Amino acid sequence: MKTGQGGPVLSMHDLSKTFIEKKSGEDLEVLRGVDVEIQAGSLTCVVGPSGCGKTTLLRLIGGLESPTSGELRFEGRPVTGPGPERGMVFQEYALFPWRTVCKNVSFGLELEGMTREEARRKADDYLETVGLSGHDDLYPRELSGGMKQRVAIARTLAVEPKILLMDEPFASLDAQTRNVMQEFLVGLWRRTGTTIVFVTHSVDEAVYLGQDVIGLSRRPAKVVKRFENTLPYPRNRTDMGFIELRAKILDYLTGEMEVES
Amino acid sequence: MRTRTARASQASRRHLVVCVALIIGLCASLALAGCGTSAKTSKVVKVGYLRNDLHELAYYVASQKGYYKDQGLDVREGGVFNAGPEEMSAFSAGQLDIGFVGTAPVMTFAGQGMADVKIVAQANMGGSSIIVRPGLDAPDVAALKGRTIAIPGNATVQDFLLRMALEKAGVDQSEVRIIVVKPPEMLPALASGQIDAAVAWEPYPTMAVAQGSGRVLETSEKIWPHHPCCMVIADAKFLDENPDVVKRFVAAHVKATQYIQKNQLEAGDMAHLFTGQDTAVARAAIKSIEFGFRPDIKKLEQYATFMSQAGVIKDKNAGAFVRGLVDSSFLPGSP
Amino acid sequence: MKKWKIISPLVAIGLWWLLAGLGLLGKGTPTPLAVVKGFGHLVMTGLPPGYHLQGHLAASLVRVFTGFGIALVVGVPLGILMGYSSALETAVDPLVEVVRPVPPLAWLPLAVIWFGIGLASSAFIIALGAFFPIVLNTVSGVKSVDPRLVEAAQTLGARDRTILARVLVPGAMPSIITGVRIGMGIAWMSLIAAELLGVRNGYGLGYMIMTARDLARNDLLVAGIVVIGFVAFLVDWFIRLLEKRLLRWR
Repeated sequence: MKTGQGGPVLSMHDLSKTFIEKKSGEDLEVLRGVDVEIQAGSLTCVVGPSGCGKTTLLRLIGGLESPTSGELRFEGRPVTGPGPERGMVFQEYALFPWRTVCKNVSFGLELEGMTREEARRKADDYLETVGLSGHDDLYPRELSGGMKQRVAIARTLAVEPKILLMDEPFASLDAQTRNVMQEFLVGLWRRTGTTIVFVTHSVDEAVYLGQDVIGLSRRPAKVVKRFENTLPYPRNRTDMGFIELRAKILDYLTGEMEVES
Repeated sequence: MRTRTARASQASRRHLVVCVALIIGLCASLALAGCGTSAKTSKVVKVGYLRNDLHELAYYVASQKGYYKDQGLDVREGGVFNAGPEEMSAFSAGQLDIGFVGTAPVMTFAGQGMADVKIVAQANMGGSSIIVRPGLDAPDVAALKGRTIAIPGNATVQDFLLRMALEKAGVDQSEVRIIVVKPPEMLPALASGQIDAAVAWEPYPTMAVAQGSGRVLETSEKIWPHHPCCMVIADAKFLDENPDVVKRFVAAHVKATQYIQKNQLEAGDMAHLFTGQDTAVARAAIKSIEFGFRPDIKKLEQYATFMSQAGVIKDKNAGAFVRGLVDSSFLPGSP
Repeated sequence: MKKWKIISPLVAIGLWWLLAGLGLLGKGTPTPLAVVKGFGHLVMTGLPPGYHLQGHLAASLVRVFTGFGIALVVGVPLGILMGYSSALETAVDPLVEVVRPVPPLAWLPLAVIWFGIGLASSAFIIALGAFFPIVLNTVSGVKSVDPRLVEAAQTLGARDRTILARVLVPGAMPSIITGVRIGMGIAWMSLIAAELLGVRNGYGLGYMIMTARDLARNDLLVAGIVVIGFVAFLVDWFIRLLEKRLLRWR
């Protein structure tokens, strides 16, 4: 079991986000006063009711949205836009359909000015890391969902981000593939030690993966509770501790969802 | 229950009567419209002519001065055409009774068996020129050796005129480059120096001089005096069925032609109204055109020989071809 | 299944032969045999005599590809920039919408006055015709690129120019090629009509057809039309081949 080392790599203080709806004039307040600290090297999961703003939070960290108010710092410096140090993996894979598997993975490497041979070699390394060696010249349309997601992960890993932001990456996969991917992610994290922030709908998944599980409230979301998960890896779903923690988190979430009704 | 049905069927019967009455009324009025407007002795004649063509001024004069009406003819516009071949296609399709059109398309279509028509009168003679671009140093036709010359079409009268002029000047056809360009496009092409010379019918030579895009090198009068240009033709079937109508039409045409010959100034003004051409240009162009109603058989034979040699008409016997094509019986002084 | 492709043209030709032979298609319609002979005449003797079909074809192809090339070189970059910058699109759009509905041929008299009867005027007409489908399809192609792909590129470290070149352009490629195919079809149609008014060097397929018309040689006319249709088909087939190669990933 690894714990974070060094100071918080990511810190959010009183972070708020309101979307201004131009057409109807009705503003949508999605996050209100979120306070979170993420340690380097940790695997943190974020759960919450549907539409509560989990994805928005991730997009803020990723620099794809900007906060309405509050502080958001990465390695002590404010976040001003997207960048390769905060890599993102999307639920819809977002692979470039016109590029082969290898060329997808080497996309970020090309930007760094590597030669084609170097980029290809490095891409091959990462493909091996995600277990997709030998699939270099296939196109995304020829891959299964699980394979696509692994290519997406390899692509993001290739630029060696300091933090990996994952937005429900396994939600589109069937149950079996999902389990395999969860195992794979844990293994990857243990090998590489990358900081991971993982957003998910599924409490089961959050308990399986995370050292910490952050529970968000209903919209406008703020952090309700932070659950520590000290179970050893790899985790067992039939384990009593697993079941208890899962029930506990589910309770809190159900409570949150009943608040408004 | 029964009262309602009875009333309903009464109503529907009434509706039926109204509908039938309306339909009968509509048919009746259509029938009346069809035969009503023209006078009892007026015969409808569908005439075709070429857009903006000064050579066919006689048609406009006869219409405006009521010569056709005097002959008891109701002349309708069967079609206005951009070029001779289009008008001849209309004759092929049986859409026209009488038409004003150039000699070349008439002979081409008749010579290919594509249209069954007869030349019943002439519209005009002459009225073409060889024009050269302003910067060209060419004192005579012989200087056109090695130059690019535009004609309005293959086997047209202008084509024939050019070959005649070259032959007279001792220049072989292989020593010049001849291309086809439509007359409106000849002017800018000359002005920009893309072609060296062009052969065109009035009003284009006059327009070229007026715009400064060219000068006249030689007129058709010097090359082939009184050459046939535009003709009056009749659909052969129409002629067979209505010889009297054709005779009356030709009489009106003769009168109009004579009017133009005697009243050059007024003719110029009418030309301006007919084609929309600038009055000064129209008047000057009219002066270069000869309006005469009697086709010259000898000259037509000459032209037919040229076309036969060019492979445009199939008949090798030019004399027989022309005799079969021309019907002079409707002209004054004929039996 | 493939043999069905041949059957309908064969039936059409057979029907044509029968009707023309019986004289049911009007005086001017040649039989298929006459058209084949006409084709031979166009190749061997030429129309006008001495001007062979090969020369006419070459001249027309030069005109089409020059005009089309201009439309491509101007239209694709402009379309990409317009798709990328809504400010630019708003600025340029009114001009596009005013000029677009005017058929290229309507410009012909002006084109002749400005450029004469040479390559420039026909290239101008053709470029005008091909330009709009190319630009409009390019713009729509750029706009239809999944925004997620742009975001993915951003999170991998790509900046604006790179995103334009490596995401928007390849993403828009299917639409661009559609625009190219449509534009080429229009270019071809505009070419033939543009040549009907006259050409400087005496060569051109439209020019050849006009000559056949002047001489009332409908066998040569139809042969010319068949050649035009066939060449247009070949060009389009070639573009589709290119498309298959470029869009392997679909």
